[in-house]
Amino acid sequence: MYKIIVQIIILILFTLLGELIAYILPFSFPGNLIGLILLFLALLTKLIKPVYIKETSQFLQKYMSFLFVPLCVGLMVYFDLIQMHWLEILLVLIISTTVTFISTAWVANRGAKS
Amino acid sequence: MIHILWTIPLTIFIYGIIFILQKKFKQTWLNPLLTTSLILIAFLLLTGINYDTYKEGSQLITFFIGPATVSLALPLYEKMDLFKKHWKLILITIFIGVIVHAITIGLIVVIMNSDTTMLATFIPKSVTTAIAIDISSSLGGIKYLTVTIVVLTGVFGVLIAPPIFKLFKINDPIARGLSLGASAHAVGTSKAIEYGSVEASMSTLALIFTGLMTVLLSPVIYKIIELLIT
Repeated sequence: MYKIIVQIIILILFTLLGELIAYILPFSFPGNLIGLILLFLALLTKLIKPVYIKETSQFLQKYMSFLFVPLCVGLMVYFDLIQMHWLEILLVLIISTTVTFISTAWVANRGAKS
Repeated sequence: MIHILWTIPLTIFIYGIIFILQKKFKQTWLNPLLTTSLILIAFLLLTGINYDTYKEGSQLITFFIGPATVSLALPLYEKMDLFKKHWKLILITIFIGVIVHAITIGLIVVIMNSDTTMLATFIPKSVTTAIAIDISSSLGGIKYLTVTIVVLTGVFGVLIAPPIFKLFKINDPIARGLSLGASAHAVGTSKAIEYGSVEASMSTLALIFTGLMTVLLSPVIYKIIELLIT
């Protein structure tokens, strides 16, 4: 239990540090990503060892989609907007996803063979 | 603050049931995030509880999106050798993915005569949710709608993956992993895990780099398409 709490604190510290830097930066850049990059650098420089964050990271990643439930529920406030734009949403979903998928798969497959 | 006593247990309970059901039946459309949210929306509508009440009670859940995103540094670190070996292919594929994605969205938004709010909501569509909400908000999109579209993209991407691999003879595990991660983010990665470990690692790298590249390119992409529709 003690170990897990330390791991959570380390992850929260990097998140807050990322948010703080994002707040100071003159342009907009997601704080979460700055935190990710900082933690990655800390791992590269061996400042943080993988074991310091391993269990909590794996747990959070396994159930990550759970964390988005409250935001996804927020959709209920936007029913009018969806009704107005449903066709675009549908087209974007189907066409954009299919075309992106085919082009990345094709390019990577050719690249991997050569 | 008192709402935390029912919002969090209820959310965990419903998610838990769907999670187990999905593990059992292996149906992509039974996506735990989407299904749990739909059940909760139905519950809130039926009981007449408004969203703000639920939102307030579930803030603690949303708070952990930050640390969970930051923790992606670990798989990135662990897969560094793989990245060094294939960095060219990975970056080219991701770049193509981000650009093609932007062009298709631009075309649809222009043809449908849509507005800039919808454009900002759509641009981060193929990026993992944690990063997508930040991009959507910073461009002036509706993050709640972005979350749903991102998840639907993932689910749809996984559904079309097997026929696309078959039709276009995509047999290489690296290519399969990269395309799943680049176009269907974390949902795609869960599918990549089913294919094998190379696919899973490549998909994880692709999802992280698609996020990073979209963050860097999205302001420019937004500006260009904005000029076309206004």
